[in-house]
Amino acid sequence: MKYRHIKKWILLAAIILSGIVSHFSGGINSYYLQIIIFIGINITLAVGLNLINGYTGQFSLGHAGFMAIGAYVAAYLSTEHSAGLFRALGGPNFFSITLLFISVLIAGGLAAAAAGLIVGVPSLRLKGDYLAIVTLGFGEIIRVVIQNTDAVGGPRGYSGIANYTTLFWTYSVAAITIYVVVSLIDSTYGRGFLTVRDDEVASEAVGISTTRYKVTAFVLGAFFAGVAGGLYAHSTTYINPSGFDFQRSIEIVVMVILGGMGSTAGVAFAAILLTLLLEYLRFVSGYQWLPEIIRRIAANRVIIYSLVLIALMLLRPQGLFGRLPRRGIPIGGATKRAKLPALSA
Amino acid sequence: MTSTEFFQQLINGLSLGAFYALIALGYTMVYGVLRFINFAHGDVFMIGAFCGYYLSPRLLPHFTGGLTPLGPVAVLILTMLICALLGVTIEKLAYRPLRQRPKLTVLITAIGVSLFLEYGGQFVFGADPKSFPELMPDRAIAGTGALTITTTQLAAFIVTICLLVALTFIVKRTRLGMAMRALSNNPTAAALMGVNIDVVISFTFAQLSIDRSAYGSSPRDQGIRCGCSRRHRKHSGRRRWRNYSRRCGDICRWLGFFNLSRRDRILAFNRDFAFPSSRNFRTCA
Repeated sequence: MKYRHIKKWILLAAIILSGIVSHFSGGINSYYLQIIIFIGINITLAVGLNLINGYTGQFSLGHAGFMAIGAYVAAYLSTEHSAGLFRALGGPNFFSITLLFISVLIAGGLAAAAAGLIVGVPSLRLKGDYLAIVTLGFGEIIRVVIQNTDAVGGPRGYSGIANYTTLFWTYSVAAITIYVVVSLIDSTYGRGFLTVRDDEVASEAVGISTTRYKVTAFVLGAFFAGVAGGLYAHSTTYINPSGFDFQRSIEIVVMVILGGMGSTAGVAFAAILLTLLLEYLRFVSGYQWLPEIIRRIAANRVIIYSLVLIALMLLRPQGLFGRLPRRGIPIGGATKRAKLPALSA
Repeated sequence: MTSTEFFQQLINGLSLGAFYALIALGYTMVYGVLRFINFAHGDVFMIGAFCGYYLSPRLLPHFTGGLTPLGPVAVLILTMLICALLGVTIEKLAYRPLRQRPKLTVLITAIGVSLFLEYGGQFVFGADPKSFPELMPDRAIAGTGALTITTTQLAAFIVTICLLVALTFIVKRTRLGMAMRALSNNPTAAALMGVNIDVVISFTFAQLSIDRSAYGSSPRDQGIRCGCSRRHRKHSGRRRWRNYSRRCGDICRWLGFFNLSRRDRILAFNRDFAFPSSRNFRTCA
């Protein structure tokens, strides 16, 4: 029981710390501040996806779609429907903005979770790469639907979003996400996710409803993605459907895989590392002392990204922090009997 | 819609469908034998198109006079060889070391290879759209009444049919094809029977790359593109390649995994239920 309280204190400390840092963040270069905020958003996205991909073993490739829903719903609500709230609370002051921001973030998260439920219920009957393809397709559907919705700007994107996202909000959400995922997995209920990943047949046999666990993980992951999308929209103040495409989903998946599937600390670390790496490569292309070819490759960052991906899979498929699954047991796949202990004389 | 319009669209659809069928065919080869989604499929197809683009100005001038019709064939064959080589290389470097690993690992590697080829192509070939050289005169065939059938449409259709027949022959009638089917059914048993898995898989990759390149360098009336600057992203070919890449997968599914082997249900039953020990290998392969 004590351990649980420690986690709560850590969560509280993280939120307070991010509040303090955020309060004194006025002096930080706004470019660096933006990167720090993106790191926080990516941590939220990756940890949320890790619940689906890492802990429950359901490979989802459509996370950017849920992020898009959260971003658009939150942005639309805070831009178009904030007037009434501000009028009731006496103009845009600290209190009304805080209330508005929290409610639009949650609304975005809930919308994404609802989409996750709609997507998850039919598609989670599938396994492995079929599921990956279906979620990929749904992610694209969401993007294309947004692209053709004129109320949110369609392909022109949605601009004029207020800049509400601060360091405090980003890192509080990231801390809450980590807290929820870690406590969930540590709880009795949460062990079900792991059993679904390790052996679906056996968990069905002991009375665990695998579909229910899968859908739960999916909906929760989508919720966090939606909240992260809301943060993202209020940080960049302009969102565009093409910013939530397949490649974005791949970026989040790479964070999960680089960190190690089923390791929250590793995934958070990978989110920091990859965000920084991609930003750093921008500068590498400007270093005059480097050979021309290296600078040109660095300018085309995805080449390096893909090489990292391939090298990682060949050399350390379990990720930086992950543990290698027992040999012969693919995630969400076949069964293998545990080795019986040798009989001693 | 008038009946002429209907038949015109039917013809257009058939010729375009023939292209897609060719891509999906290569795709189903990998999926049928190896059971994993090869995301890099559309990208090898892109390389094929660019091979055709760079080869034809260099090769075609050598074929003049009576040899002129052989020019496009030479381009096609050389492109096939290059793509086959690329396919085997990818398999050897990226996929073979992962044969025993979980399927997901291979899937992610395939995504990596796909991104690498796509952006590597953009790096090497440049991001601006290029118009494909005319391999054969593109004109409407006479004597079809109100309907228009161009020579390229006809050529695409014929090439597809020929390759389909050739592939069916290889899979159904040759030793290698039998080995492929065996591998698809049960890799462990196939290995026990003395089938060299590596060779067969390499060959599968070579073959599908050949198919893809055939499409890539087929005479077409469209320009080819590889990627575009962010500014023109909406019209960028990059998305198009990716779409191709994805569409092949869809087609493959729509066809209901028309398997190479017309797999025997009993064998499948044996594999999954009667001898479940082989399942581990299967899901890993």
